[in-house]
Amino acid sequence: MASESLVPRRYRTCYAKLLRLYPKPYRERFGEAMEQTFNDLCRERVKAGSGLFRLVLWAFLETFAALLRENAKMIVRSAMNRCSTIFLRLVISLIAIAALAVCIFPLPRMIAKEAAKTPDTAWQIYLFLAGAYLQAALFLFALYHAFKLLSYADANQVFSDRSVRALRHIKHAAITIGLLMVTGVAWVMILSAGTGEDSAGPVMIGFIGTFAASVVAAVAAVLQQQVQRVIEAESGSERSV
Amino acid sequence: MYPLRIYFRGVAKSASNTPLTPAVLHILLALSNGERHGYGIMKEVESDSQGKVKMGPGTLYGSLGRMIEAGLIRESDKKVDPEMDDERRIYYKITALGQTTLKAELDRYREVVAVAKQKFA
Repeated sequence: MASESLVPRRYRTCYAKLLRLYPKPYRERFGEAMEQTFNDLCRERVKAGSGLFRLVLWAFLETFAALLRENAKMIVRSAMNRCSTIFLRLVISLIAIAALAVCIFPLPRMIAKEAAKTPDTAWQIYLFLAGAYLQAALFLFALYHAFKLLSYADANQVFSDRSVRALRHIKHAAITIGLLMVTGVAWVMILSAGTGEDSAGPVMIGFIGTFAASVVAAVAAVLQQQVQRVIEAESGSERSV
Repeated sequence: MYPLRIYFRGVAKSASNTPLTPAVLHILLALSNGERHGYGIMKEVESDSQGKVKMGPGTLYGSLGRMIEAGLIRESDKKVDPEMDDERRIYYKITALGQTTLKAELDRYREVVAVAKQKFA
Protein backbone atom coordinates (compact mmCIF):
# COMPACT_ATOMS: atom_id res chain seq x y z
CA MET A 1 0.00 0.00 0.00
CA ALA A 2 1.18 3.57 -0.76
CA SER A 3 1.05 4.64 2.89
CA GLU A 4 3.15 1.72 4.06
CA SER A 5 5.95 2.62 1.60
CA LEU A 6 6.63 5.72 3.73
CA VAL A 7 7.66 3.43 6.60
CA PRO A 8 10.92 1.54 6.06
CA ARG A 9 10.24 -2.12 5.52
CA ARG A 10 12.83 -3.20 8.09
CA TYR A 11 10.96 -1.40 10.88
CA ARG A 12 7.65 -2.98 9.90
CA THR A 13 9.23 -6.43 9.64
CA CYS A 14 10.98 -6.12 13.03
CA TYR A 15 7.79 -4.91 14.70
CA ALA A 16 5.81 -7.79 13.22
CA LYS A 17 8.45 -10.20 14.58
CA LEU A 18 8.24 -8.56 18.02
CA LEU A 19 4.48 -9.07 18.05
CA ARG A 20 5.02 -12.83 17.61
CA LEU A 21 6.26 -12.90 21.23
CA TYR A 22 2.75 -12.10 22.48
CA PRO A 23 0.57 -15.04 23.61
CA LYS A 24 -1.22 -16.56 20.63
CA PRO A 25 -4.83 -15.59 21.59
CA TYR A 26 -3.73 -11.99 22.15
CA ARG A 27 -1.73 -11.93 18.92
CA GLU A 28 -4.67 -13.26 16.92
CA ARG A 29 -6.98 -10.67 18.41
CA PHE A 30 -4.85 -7.54 18.37
CA GLY A 31 -1.74 -8.31 16.30
CA GLU A 32 -2.98 -6.87 13.00
CA ALA A 33 -4.38 -3.76 14.67
CA MET A 34 -1.13 -3.17 16.56
CA GLU A 35 0.87 -3.40 13.33
CA GLN A 36 -1.48 -0.93 11.65
CA THR A 37 -1.18 1.47 14.58
CA PHE A 38 2.62 1.23 14.55
CA ASN A 39 2.65 1.96 10.81
CA ASP A 40 0.28 4.89 11.33
CA LEU A 41 2.55 6.35 14.03
CA CYS A 42 5.62 6.02 11.82
CA ARG A 43 3.85 7.43 8.77
CA GLU A 44 2.71 10.46 10.75
CA ARG A 45 6.28 11.08 11.90
CA VAL A 46 7.66 10.76 8.37
CA LYS A 47 5.02 13.16 6.99
CA ALA A 48 5.97 15.65 9.71
CA GLY A 49 9.53 15.46 8.42
CA SER A 50 10.96 14.10 11.68
CA GLY A 51 13.33 11.21 12.20
CA LEU A 52 11.92 7.79 12.86
CA PHE A 53 14.59 6.18 14.98
CA ARG A 54 13.57 7.57 18.38
CA LEU A 55 9.89 6.88 17.77
CA VAL A 56 10.61 3.33 16.63
CA LEU A 57 12.88 2.71 19.63
CA TRP A 58 10.22 4.02 22.01
CA ALA A 59 7.47 1.94 20.31
CA PHE A 60 9.63 -1.21 20.47
CA LEU A 61 10.50 -0.74 24.16
CA GLU A 62 6.93 0.13 25.08
CA THR A 63 5.53 -2.87 23.19
CA PHE A 64 8.19 -5.17 24.68
CA ALA A 65 7.22 -4.08 28.23
CA ALA A 66 3.54 -4.63 27.40
CA LEU A 67 4.18 -8.10 25.96
CA LEU A 68 6.11 -9.10 29.10
CA ARG A 69 3.04 -8.05 31.12
CA GLU A 70 0.65 -10.00 28.88
CA ASN A 71 2.81 -13.13 29.00
CA ALA A 72 3.15 -12.87 32.79
CA LYS A 73 -0.63 -12.41 33.09
CA MET A 74 -1.23 -15.46 30.94
CA ILE A 75 1.19 -17.60 32.95
CA VAL A 76 -0.34 -16.51 36.29
CA ARG A 77 -3.90 -17.03 35.00
CA SER A 78 -3.06 -20.44 33.62
CA ALA A 79 -1.26 -21.45 36.85
CA MET A 80 -4.17 -20.18 38.99
CA ASN A 81 -6.73 -22.01 36.89
CA ARG A 82 -4.73 -25.20 36.95
CA CYS A 83 -3.96 -25.00 40.70
CA SER A 84 -7.55 -24.42 41.70
CA THR A 85 -8.97 -27.02 39.32
CA ILE A 86 -6.31 -29.62 40.16
CA PHE A 87 -7.10 -29.25 43.85
CA LEU A 88 -10.86 -29.40 43.23
CA ARG A 89 -10.49 -32.39 40.91
CA LEU A 90 -8.54 -34.16 43.65
CA VAL A 91 -11.21 -33.37 46.23
CA ILE A 92 -14.00 -34.62 43.93
CA SER A 93 -12.07 -37.81 43.17
CA LEU A 94 -11.50 -38.50 46.87
CA ILE A 95 -15.18 -37.91 47.67
CA ALA A 96 -16.19 -40.27 44.85
CA ILE A 97 -13.77 -42.97 46.06
CA ALA A 98 -15.06 -42.58 49.63
CA ALA A 99 -18.69 -42.86 48.45
CA LEU A 100 -17.89 -45.99 46.42
CA ALA A 101 -15.99 -47.52 49.32
CA VAL A 102 -18.96 -46.94 51.66
CA CYS A 103 -21.33 -48.52 49.11
CA ILE A 104 -19.11 -51.58 48.64
CA PHE A 105 -17.93 -52.33 52.20
CA PRO A 106 -19.70 -51.09 55.35
CA LEU A 107 -23.18 -50.39 53.95
CA PRO A 108 -24.10 -53.90 52.73
CA ARG A 109 -22.73 -55.46 55.95
CA MET A 110 -24.70 -53.02 58.10
CA ILE A 111 -27.89 -53.70 56.17
CA ALA A 112 -27.38 -57.45 56.26
CA LYS A 113 -26.87 -57.31 60.05
CA GLU A 114 -30.07 -55.32 60.50
CA ALA A 115 -31.99 -57.61 58.16
CA ALA A 116 -30.80 -60.67 60.10
CA LYS A 117 -32.27 -59.19 63.33
CA THR A 118 -35.77 -58.98 61.84
CA PRO A 119 -36.12 -61.60 59.07
CA ASP A 120 -39.85 -60.90 58.65
CA THR A 121 -39.31 -57.32 57.68
CA ALA A 122 -35.95 -57.85 55.98
CA TRP A 123 -37.45 -56.85 52.59
CA GLN A 124 -38.07 -53.35 53.94
CA ILE A 125 -34.45 -53.03 54.92
CA TYR A 126 -33.25 -54.25 51.51
CA LEU A 127 -35.60 -51.74 49.89
CA PHE A 128 -33.91 -49.10 52.01
CA LEU A 129 -30.53 -50.37 50.72
CA ALA A 130 -31.74 -50.10 47.14
CA GLY A 131 -32.74 -46.48 47.83
CA ALA A 132 -29.33 -45.80 49.34
CA TYR A 133 -27.57 -47.24 46.25
CA LEU A 134 -29.79 -45.15 43.99
CA GLN A 135 -28.82 -42.06 45.93
CA ALA A 136 -25.14 -43.06 45.74
CA ALA A 137 -25.46 -43.48 41.95
CA LEU A 138 -27.04 -40.04 41.63
CA PHE A 139 -24.34 -38.58 43.88
CA LEU A 140 -21.58 -40.06 41.68
CA PHE A 141 -23.44 -38.79 38.59
CA ALA A 142 -23.45 -35.26 40.08
CA LEU A 143 -19.75 -35.54 40.97
CA TYR A 144 -18.98 -36.60 37.38
CA HIS A 145 -20.69 -33.49 36.03
CA ALA A 146 -18.89 -31.31 38.58
CA PHE A 147 -15.64 -32.83 37.29
CA LYS A 148 -16.66 -31.97 33.72
CA LEU A 149 -17.42 -28.39 34.76
CA LEU A 150 -13.84 -28.05 35.98
CA SER A 151 -12.52 -29.21 32.61
CA TYR A 152 -14.74 -26.60 30.91
CA ALA A 153 -13.24 -23.99 33.26
CA ASP A 154 -9.73 -25.10 32.25
CA ALA A 155 -10.65 -24.78 28.59
CA ASN A 156 -12.17 -21.33 29.25
CA GLN A 157 -15.59 -22.62 28.25
CA VAL A 158 -17.48 -21.89 31.45
CA PHE A 159 -20.04 -19.81 29.57
CA SER A 160 -21.22 -22.49 27.18
CA ASP A 161 -24.28 -24.69 26.67
CA ARG A 162 -22.31 -27.66 27.95
CA SER A 163 -21.80 -25.93 31.30
CA VAL A 164 -25.50 -25.15 31.47
CA ARG A 165 -26.32 -28.83 30.79
CA ALA A 166 -23.83 -30.00 33.45
CA LEU A 167 -25.31 -27.62 36.04
CA ARG A 168 -28.82 -28.78 35.10
CA HIS A 169 -27.81 -32.43 35.63
CA ILE A 170 -26.28 -31.57 39.03
CA LYS A 171 -29.44 -29.70 40.03
CA HIS A 172 -31.74 -32.58 39.01
CA ALA A 173 -29.53 -35.15 40.75
CA ALA A 174 -29.52 -33.08 43.98
CA ILE A 175 -33.32 -32.64 43.87
CA THR A 176 -33.83 -36.38 43.34
CA ILE A 177 -31.42 -37.23 46.18
CA GLY A 178 -33.30 -34.79 48.44
CA LEU A 179 -36.66 -36.37 47.59
CA LEU A 180 -35.28 -39.88 48.18
CA MET A 181 -33.87 -38.71 51.53
CA VAL A 182 -37.25 -37.30 52.57
CA THR A 183 -38.92 -40.55 51.51
CA GLY A 184 -36.29 -42.53 53.45
CA VAL A 185 -36.76 -40.41 56.57
CA ALA A 186 -40.52 -40.82 56.41
CA TRP A 187 -40.09 -44.57 55.92
CA VAL A 188 -37.76 -44.87 58.92
CA MET A 189 -40.14 -42.84 61.09
CA ILE A 190 -43.09 -45.04 60.14
CA LEU A 191 -41.07 -48.23 60.74
CA SER A 192 -39.73 -47.09 64.11
CA ALA A 193 -43.19 -45.95 65.18
CA GLY A 194 -44.36 -49.48 64.59
CA THR A 195 -41.43 -51.18 66.37
CA GLY A 196 -41.00 -48.56 69.08
CA GLU A 197 -37.28 -48.09 68.31
CA ASP A 198 -35.49 -44.80 68.68
CA SER A 199 -34.92 -43.40 65.19
CA ALA A 200 -33.53 -39.99 66.12
CA GLY A 201 -30.07 -40.76 64.71
CA PRO A 202 -31.11 -41.93 61.21
CA VAL A 203 -33.78 -39.22 61.00
CA MET A 204 -31.25 -36.52 61.90
CA ILE A 205 -28.83 -37.86 59.25
CA GLY A 206 -31.68 -37.89 56.77
CA PHE A 207 -32.60 -34.25 57.50
CA ILE A 208 -28.98 -33.12 57.22
CA GLY A 209 -28.67 -34.98 53.93
CA THR A 210 -31.89 -33.41 52.64
CA PHE A 211 -30.72 -29.95 53.65
CA ALA A 212 -27.33 -30.46 51.95
CA ALA A 213 -29.00 -31.73 48.77
CA SER A 214 -31.35 -28.72 48.76
CA VAL A 215 -28.44 -26.30 49.10
CA VAL A 216 -26.57 -27.98 46.23
CA ALA A 217 -29.71 -27.90 44.06
CA ALA A 218 -30.29 -24.21 44.83
CA VAL A 219 -26.66 -23.24 44.11
CA ALA A 220 -26.67 -25.25 40.86
CA ALA A 221 -29.94 -23.59 39.81
CA VAL A 222 -28.62 -20.09 40.50
CA LEU A 223 -25.33 -20.78 38.66
CA GLN A 224 -27.21 -22.30 35.74
CA GLN A 225 -29.39 -19.20 35.50
CA GLN A 226 -26.42 -16.83 35.65
CA VAL A 227 -24.42 -18.74 33.05
CA GLN A 228 -27.47 -18.89 30.78
CA ARG A 229 -27.96 -15.14 31.18
CA VAL A 230 -24.33 -14.40 30.26
CA ILE A 231 -24.56 -16.68 27.20
CA GLU A 232 -27.77 -14.96 26.06
CA ALA A 233 -26.28 -11.49 26.65
CA GLU A 234 -23.19 -12.39 24.64
CA SER A 235 -25.12 -13.92 21.77
CA GLY A 236 -27.38 -10.84 21.78
CA SER A 237 -24.41 -8.46 21.58
CA GLU A 238 -22.76 -10.57 18.85
CA ARG A 239 -25.96 -10.39 16.82
CA SER A 240 -26.20 -6.61 17.19
CA VAL A 241 -22.57 -6.27 16.03
CA MET B 1 -13.70 -22.33 39.73
CA TYR B 2 -13.04 -18.67 39.10
CA PRO B 3 -15.10 -17.43 36.13
CA LEU B 4 -12.82 -14.60 35.04
CA ARG B 5 -15.48 -12.79 33.08
CA ILE B 6 -17.83 -12.64 36.07
CA TYR B 7 -14.91 -11.39 38.14
CA PHE B 8 -14.02 -8.61 35.66
CA ARG B 9 -17.67 -7.63 35.22
CA GLY B 10 -18.03 -7.54 38.98
CA VAL B 11 -15.00 -5.26 39.16
CA ALA B 12 -16.44 -3.01 36.47
CA LYS B 13 -19.89 -2.94 38.10
CA SER B 14 -18.34 -1.76 41.36
CA ALA B 15 -16.18 0.70 39.42
CA SER B 16 -17.91 3.58 41.13
CA ASN B 17 -15.87 2.59 44.21
CA THR B 18 -12.42 2.29 42.60
CA PRO B 19 -10.61 4.92 40.53
CA LEU B 20 -9.83 4.19 36.90
CA THR B 21 -6.26 4.30 35.62
CA PRO B 22 -5.40 7.36 33.51
CA ALA B 23 -5.14 5.20 30.38
CA VAL B 24 -8.61 3.68 30.87
CA LEU B 25 -10.16 7.04 31.73
CA HIS B 26 -8.74 8.72 28.63
CA ILE B 27 -9.78 5.84 26.38
CA LEU B 28 -13.34 6.04 27.70
CA LEU B 29 -13.32 9.80 27.16
CA ALA B 30 -12.03 9.33 23.61
CA LEU B 31 -14.82 6.86 22.84
CA SER B 32 -17.55 8.78 24.66
CA ASN B 33 -18.47 10.78 21.57
CA GLY B 34 -18.20 8.07 18.95
CA GLU B 35 -16.44 4.90 17.89
CA ARG B 36 -12.79 5.01 16.89
CA HIS B 37 -10.03 2.71 15.74
CA GLY B 38 -6.84 2.20 17.75
CA TYR B 39 -4.78 4.94 16.14
CA GLY B 40 -7.72 7.34 16.38
CA ILE B 41 -8.02 6.60 20.12
CA MET B 42 -4.29 7.21 20.53
CA LYS B 43 -4.44 10.61 18.82
CA GLU B 44 -7.61 11.64 20.67
CA VAL B 45 -6.05 10.74 24.03
CA GLU B 46 -2.91 12.71 23.19
CA SER B 47 -5.04 15.66 22.14
CA ASP B 48 -7.34 15.54 25.21
CA SER B 49 -4.40 15.35 27.59
CA GLN B 50 -2.42 18.00 25.68
CA GLY B 51 0.41 15.58 25.12
CA LYS B 52 0.70 14.52 28.79
CA VAL B 53 -0.68 11.00 28.21
CA LYS B 54 1.13 9.21 25.40
CA MET B 55 0.31 5.59 24.76
CA GLY B 56 2.12 3.26 22.45
CA PRO B 57 0.46 0.31 20.73
CA GLY B 58 1.46 -2.04 23.57
CA THR B 59 -0.20 -0.01 26.34
CA LEU B 60 -3.18 0.94 24.17
CA TYR B 61 -4.14 -2.55 23.11
CA GLY B 62 -3.35 -4.02 26.53
CA SER B 63 -5.82 -1.52 28.02
CA LEU B 64 -8.36 -2.16 25.24
CA GLY B 65 -8.15 -5.91 25.91
CA ARG B 66 -8.78 -5.44 29.65
CA MET B 67 -11.60 -3.01 29.01
CA ILE B 68 -13.28 -5.43 26.61
CA GLU B 69 -13.03 -8.18 29.26
CA ALA B 70 -14.52 -5.81 31.84
CA GLY B 71 -17.38 -4.94 29.47
CA LEU B 72 -16.54 -1.24 29.30
CA ILE B 73 -16.05 -1.23 25.53
CA ARG B 74 -16.60 -3.62 22.66
CA GLU B 75 -15.27 -4.19 19.16
CA SER B 76 -17.44 -2.67 16.49
CA ASP B 77 -17.15 -2.90 12.69
CA LYS B 78 -14.03 -3.34 10.63
CA LYS B 79 -14.11 -0.50 8.14
CA VAL B 80 -12.02 2.01 6.23
CA ASP B 81 -11.18 5.38 7.75
CA PRO B 82 -11.81 7.89 4.95
CA GLU B 83 -9.25 10.30 6.45
CA MET B 84 -6.50 7.74 6.29
CA ASP B 85 -5.59 5.10 3.79
CA ASP B 86 -7.78 2.36 2.41
CA GLU B 87 -6.89 -0.24 5.02
CA ARG B 88 -9.79 -1.70 7.00
CA ARG B 89 -9.46 -1.10 10.73
CA ILE B 90 -11.29 -2.48 13.76
CA TYR B 91 -13.33 0.18 15.51
CA TYR B 92 -14.10 0.24 19.22
CA LYS B 93 -17.27 1.47 20.86
CA ILE B 94 -18.13 2.34 24.46
CA THR B 95 -20.84 0.20 26.09
CA ALA B 96 -23.60 1.27 28.47
CA LEU B 97 -21.49 -0.04 31.36
CA GLY B 98 -18.55 2.03 30.07
CA GLN B 99 -20.74 5.13 29.96
CA THR B 100 -21.90 4.51 33.54
CA THR B 101 -18.36 3.90 34.74
CA LEU B 102 -17.09 7.05 33.02
CA LYS B 103 -19.89 9.14 34.52
CA ALA B 104 -19.16 7.75 38.00
CA GLU B 105 -15.46 8.58 37.60
CA LEU B 106 -16.16 12.13 36.43
CA ASP B 107 -18.59 12.61 39.35
CA ARG B 108 -15.81 11.49 41.70
CA TYR B 109 -13.42 14.03 40.16
CA ARG B 110 -16.02 16.78 40.56
CA GLU B 111 -16.47 15.90 44.25
CA VAL B 112 -12.71 15.97 44.83
CA VAL B 113 -12.37 19.31 43.02
CA ALA B 114 -15.27 20.74 45.07
CA VAL B 115 -13.61 19.65 48.34
CA ALA B 116 -10.26 21.06 47.17
CA LYS B 117 -11.88 24.39 46.27
CA GLN B 118 -13.43 24.60 49.76
CA LYS B 119 -10.14 23.86 51.47
CA PHE B 120 -8.05 26.22 49.37
CA ALA B 121 -10.59 28.97 48.67
